[in-house]
Amino acid sequence: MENVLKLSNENCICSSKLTYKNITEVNNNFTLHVNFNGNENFVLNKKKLRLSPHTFLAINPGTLYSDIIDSGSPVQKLSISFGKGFMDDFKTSFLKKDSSFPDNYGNSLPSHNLTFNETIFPLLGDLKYNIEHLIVLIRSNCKDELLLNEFLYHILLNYYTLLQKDMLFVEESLKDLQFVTRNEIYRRLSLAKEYLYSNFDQKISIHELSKYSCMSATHLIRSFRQAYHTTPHQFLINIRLKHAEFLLKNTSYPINKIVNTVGLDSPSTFIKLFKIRHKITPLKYRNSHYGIN
Amino acid sequence: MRIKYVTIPSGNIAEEETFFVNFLGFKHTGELELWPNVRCKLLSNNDSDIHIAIIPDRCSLNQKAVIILNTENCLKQYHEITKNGVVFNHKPYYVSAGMIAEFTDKEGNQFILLEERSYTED
Repeated sequence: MENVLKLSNENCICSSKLTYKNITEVNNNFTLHVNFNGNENFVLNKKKLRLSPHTFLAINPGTLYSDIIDSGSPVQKLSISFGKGFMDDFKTSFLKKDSSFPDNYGNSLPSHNLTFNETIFPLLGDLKYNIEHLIVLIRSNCKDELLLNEFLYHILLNYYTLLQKDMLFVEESLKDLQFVTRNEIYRRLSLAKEYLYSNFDQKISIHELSKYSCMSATHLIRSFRQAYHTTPHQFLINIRLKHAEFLLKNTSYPINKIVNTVGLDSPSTFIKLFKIRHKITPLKYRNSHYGIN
Repeated sequence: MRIKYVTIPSGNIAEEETFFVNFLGFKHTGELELWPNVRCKLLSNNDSDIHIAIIPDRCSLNQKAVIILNTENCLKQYHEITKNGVVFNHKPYYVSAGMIAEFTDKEGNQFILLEERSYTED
């Protein structure tokens, strides 16, 4: 099932639930791919990326990519393609100095050219809320382009702000380094993060991770800790636990299956880590969310 | 839309809070950022799901009542009210409590559309 909504300004929203898809294309517009359920694979710039639930991927105009779904159960996703004119308007309005704007959230961010990093991010915060609202509108068959474009503007703003915050956080943490070095380390750490997001259910060695992110293992661990105040291993554990939370809330999988699905060693390790984070056992967590979702 | 907070403007928020807690039996339940960098104290008792929001007295703005209308979807509500001809003071924006849009009626009463969002899982 695929529901495609093309707006008159070339923005396009595609909501789908598919068990199979295999396309290779170049999209001339900037696109966000958001996954809600199941796994979706992408190949772009020789990188193999996998989107798991509640993560998203940005793809720049002109990038050749493959989008592959091959799953026993339907994969629910949303793609938003932003028309060139809309992007130009966004840049103009976003970068415009507007002293009447009361908030320090958006317009006061550094005014430099927009650059988008083709990598995986978790779906969080305002971006998550606005995308969820957009899905409700699409399901209710909303055709009000003004309203839909308002949401698309905010989604773009949320995405850009998230990217900026990530960059600024790393910049601040690595402020002793030169600008060029800092940018290069940020790029490589982004590679490390996307590798962890794409392969969290596999056994990942530091050797593989450092090879993918073009850094030595020592340099990677040191830079990662310096930039994100955590180790790659702890970051990976967090991804696994977040995914386990999703499975506890949205499936009836037994604990053993969840442990295998998220790539943890054993149920006892999982329960221990889960209790440290949530102060309750996974089953109590599941029961407390039963009926909410 | 529903009214979830009754606003109490005060020149001395701490004193007002003490009055509600000590004399009326309310409990402090949290804070809410209604305007950028301005935090309001929230109080409630067990008798109602309507809360008290003690807000800074902003007499200089000639504002009368401040009415907070909670909404599930601020952007959609903003869009619908705008279509009815209401002009908002600003486009919807983000604060730590969630998303906000505000307009003022002809009498100077201020209406705040508030979509509360939880960022704790982030």
